[in-house]
Amino acid sequence: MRPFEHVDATSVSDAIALLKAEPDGTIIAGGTDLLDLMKDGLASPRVLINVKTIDGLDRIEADAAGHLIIGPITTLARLAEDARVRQDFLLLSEAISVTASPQLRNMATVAGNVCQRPRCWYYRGTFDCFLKGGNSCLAVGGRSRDSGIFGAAECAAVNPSDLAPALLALGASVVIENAKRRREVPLESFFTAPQKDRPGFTVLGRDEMIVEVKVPKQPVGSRGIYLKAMERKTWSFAQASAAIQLSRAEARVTDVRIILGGVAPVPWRASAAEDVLRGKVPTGELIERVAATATDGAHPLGQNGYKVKLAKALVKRGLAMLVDNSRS
Amino acid sequence: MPRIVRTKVEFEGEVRERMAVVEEDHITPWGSGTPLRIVGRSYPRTGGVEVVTGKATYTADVQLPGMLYCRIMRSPHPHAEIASIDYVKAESMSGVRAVLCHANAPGIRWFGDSLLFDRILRYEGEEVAAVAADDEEIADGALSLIRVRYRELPFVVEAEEAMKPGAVQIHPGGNIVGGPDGEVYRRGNVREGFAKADLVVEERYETPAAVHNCLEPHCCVAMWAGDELVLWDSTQHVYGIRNEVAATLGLPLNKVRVISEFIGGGFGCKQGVGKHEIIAALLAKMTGRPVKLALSRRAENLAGGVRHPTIQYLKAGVRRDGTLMALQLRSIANIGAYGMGGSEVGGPIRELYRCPNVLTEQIAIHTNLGPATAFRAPGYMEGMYGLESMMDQIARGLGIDPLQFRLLNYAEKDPMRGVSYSSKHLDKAYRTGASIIGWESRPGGQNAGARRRGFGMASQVWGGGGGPPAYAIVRLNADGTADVLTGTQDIGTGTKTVLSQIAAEELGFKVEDVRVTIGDSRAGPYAPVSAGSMTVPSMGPAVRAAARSAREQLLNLAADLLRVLATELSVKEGKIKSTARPREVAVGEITGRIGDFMIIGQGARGPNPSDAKVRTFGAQFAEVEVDVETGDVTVLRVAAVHDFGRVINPLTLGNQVEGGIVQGTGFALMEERIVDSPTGKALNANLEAYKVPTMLDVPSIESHPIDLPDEICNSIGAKGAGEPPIIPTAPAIANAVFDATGIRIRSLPITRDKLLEEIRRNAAF
Repeated sequence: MRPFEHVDATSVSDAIALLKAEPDGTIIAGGTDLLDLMKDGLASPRVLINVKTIDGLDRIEADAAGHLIIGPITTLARLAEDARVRQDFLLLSEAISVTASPQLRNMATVAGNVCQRPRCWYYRGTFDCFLKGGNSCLAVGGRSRDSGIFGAAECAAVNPSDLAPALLALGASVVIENAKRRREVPLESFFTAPQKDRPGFTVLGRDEMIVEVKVPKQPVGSRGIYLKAMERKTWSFAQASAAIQLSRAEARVTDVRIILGGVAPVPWRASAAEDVLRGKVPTGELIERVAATATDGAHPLGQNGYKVKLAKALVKRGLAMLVDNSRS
Repeated sequence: MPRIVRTKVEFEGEVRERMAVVEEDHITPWGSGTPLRIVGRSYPRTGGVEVVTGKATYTADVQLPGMLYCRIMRSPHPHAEIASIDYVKAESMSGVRAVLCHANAPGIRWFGDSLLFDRILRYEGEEVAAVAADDEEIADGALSLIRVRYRELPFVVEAEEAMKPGAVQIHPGGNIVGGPDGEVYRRGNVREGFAKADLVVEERYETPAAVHNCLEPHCCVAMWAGDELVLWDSTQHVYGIRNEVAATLGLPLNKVRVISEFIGGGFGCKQGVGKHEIIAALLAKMTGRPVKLALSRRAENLAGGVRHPTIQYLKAGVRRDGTLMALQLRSIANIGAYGMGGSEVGGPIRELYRCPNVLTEQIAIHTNLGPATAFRAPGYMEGMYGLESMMDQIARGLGIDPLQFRLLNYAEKDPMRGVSYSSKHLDKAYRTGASIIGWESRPGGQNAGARRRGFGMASQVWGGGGGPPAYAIVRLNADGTADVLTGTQDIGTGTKTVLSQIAAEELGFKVEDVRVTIGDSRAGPYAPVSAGSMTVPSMGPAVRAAARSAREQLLNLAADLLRVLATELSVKEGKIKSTARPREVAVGEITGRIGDFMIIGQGARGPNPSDAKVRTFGAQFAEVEVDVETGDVTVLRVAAVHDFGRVINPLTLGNQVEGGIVQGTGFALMEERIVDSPTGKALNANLEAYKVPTMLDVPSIESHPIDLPDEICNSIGAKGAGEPPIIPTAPAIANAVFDATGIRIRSLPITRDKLLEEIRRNAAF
């Protein structure tokens, strides 16, 4: 591991100035992903800019309009336990409850989780992978059991986050600051699939910082569910997951968001499936159709065809549970 | 007087004839009628509090003044030649004390013609260089300064590829160990057997490479005291390491001392000497300072040993009435570049059922992968998966209940030699297990809905009889306490606890008045490797013999002092009683009278019975739930009924059964080292991507050992329990998955991708 300096930032502008001044600098909060990347030689920052010393970055509050404002270094454990979150944004607590282990959730932060790097074993291991400057993605013709079935143009690695699909299902956005300006980016356009000319995983610039995550107020009676399939019962990344937020008026679906995790380089929004459901009464038959549509456009590789069947099953089950629940 | 005898000792399925020095007198075994006060009762683990509070000194906790830390540079290629190596910069780095590589290391022979540091690297992870430095970070930094130019060589990682003519040769002798059909066993004539069968089934099974992933990685600390080497080592065999290290370094046996007090798991991968012990000893010699060498988790996964993957071609012929007519196995084990050979994959096929015609061919293949080593019930666990999956399939094919089918082919005598068993209660294990799980009342076959319940069962056979040589010494102190000394070790099973119970029982002492010293080749006499489920059945009788000798001496002394006949005296709870007088005398009163004159009892493990086969048996029954939409498999319950002879300590035995089932569940559902064939490199050499079970993956376990003493096998009536519990778990689960879904996965682990793919292919559900 390359020797590094550890600097405590005093304010957001201080952190951003440090980022700008030090091209080899990177922000550290929980460090649960960064330290592994450093140990494995996948990141070798010269300066670690500690933002845990900045006041107010771990706040959880509601603004005047009832939107939830989450500070970027709020730990997953605190977010999941927050009374307001449990009351109005239960989907977040559910997604966090199946994320990593209690020890990791006590350290890992919201922004860090959203920005975590892929787990693909070609990337994490000592391979000449596309993400590390290799010519092509080794998973495509290789061991692709854990790879994506959507949008795998040049790299088949998947976004590993549980929280990100849940946030997307709630229509969340991130507020990003750099030295010049502050902007709000919907999470839906925050994530990017890595490409040859643009190797990043998000639109976050290297001298930028996420300063808050904003979750809009949900309609009354709106409910969410997070279902996750793993290689074992816990402490594992998703083979596939489904985050669904469903709003209804009378029997009809007024709005629905279906986001799939573990199947694409970004949290994957199943828009076509949402369209099938929106405005309709969710019967068992309709739910089957929604689930069937959820994997439209999937292109499985040699060893991950099962993810198509799995993602459909999760969507079907999630919707059925949401509909059942609201009935009772 | 001791005498020398010849006796057969079975180790992990292999029977070897050995000479043994044994005590003259036969000790009457503790039978079912023998009243025992301490043996058979649960005692918490000696040292258990130290372990769970972090106070136990494992090898990695050994800190010595001036100690250096060693780190190893490993081959990034599956097969390469070192064209050049430049370590000048590393050597001159501040804080670096020594560098070892093929350019400067002594030419120590390691495997075949290869050397400890060889120019040819035969797997990803093989040792290229070693650095000893003031701390681990400096050592790591120095490794990054070593410049190696590799000439990459063609490689092969798949066993069936490596068998083909023209395949890359890993060693001069070729890739196939032994003959082209490997190790062959034959009885009867399988061709005739199949001809007489009404149903013949042939299947191919695969088992994965499973990594031991002991909580404590391989670790040692080497220190020279003059011309003597002291080695703290996480090992399953302190005496074995002493012998191997002494031979490798050309030292007299009495100048090497190996210490291993607490061990964080071995499971087979710490049976013999590894390169790390020799490297640490050499670096310690070069620097004149103690050297600690611990493998990283990644190194542990690449180079620390692995259960060899198998491919099994199994063929079975059976009559319509359920009589097994013939069994044939051709197994191919991928033992990596430096595996010593294949394990006994054919063991269960040869000896579980009464079958007149059997042929097994066990083939072991070298490839460019890390070395295969023993792993808890090597061979039998893999072979049992194939065999018991096949038996389930055949029973269902014939319309016979799978349990009934096994009883129909029950072997009353050893099918290999026709001799009687010293004891066998497998039928009772079947019945008890069936009753616990509710076998008779189980819902028949596949039920409707997404989540389907299924039941499966499988059998277990294994050795576990132990044998000589194994020695112990019991010393009585003036205050009436006792010390037990032996060179065995506790790899996490509770050896100390169990031996203290046996000694206390035989001495008539309280268990807290007996202290057991183990894990030091200089403190106690020879004891066998803690493997092959042989520690209790080897060491227990040795300790009992030593304790008996001490007790006899004590009673003779007491008789003399009390002026009574020794035959009138007995010891109970630390008090000497006479049938002639009412007064009890504390042992300490007697031993106190002779002060520092000591009573020393010696004991040796006697020979094994020559006319009986000693085996452990058992059966496990699993209930699973399979979600046929998501592919989730949940093991709900496992009922485990094993016959280990007498149970010495139900608590520590229960731990062994639970641990075996946990590891067996991992093998059934998730554990697998995955290698990328195009690059020959491991993809999951870490604990994130290589999955071991968590608490949530562990089923509810109901263990009911048979607990009947085997009065023929040895003087304590107990057999080993380390390995049996892992053997039937995977096939029991696999059969239950079939029962739930109608889908049979013939390649472990049964993962979601395989299950959903089979469901899709069969257009099921």
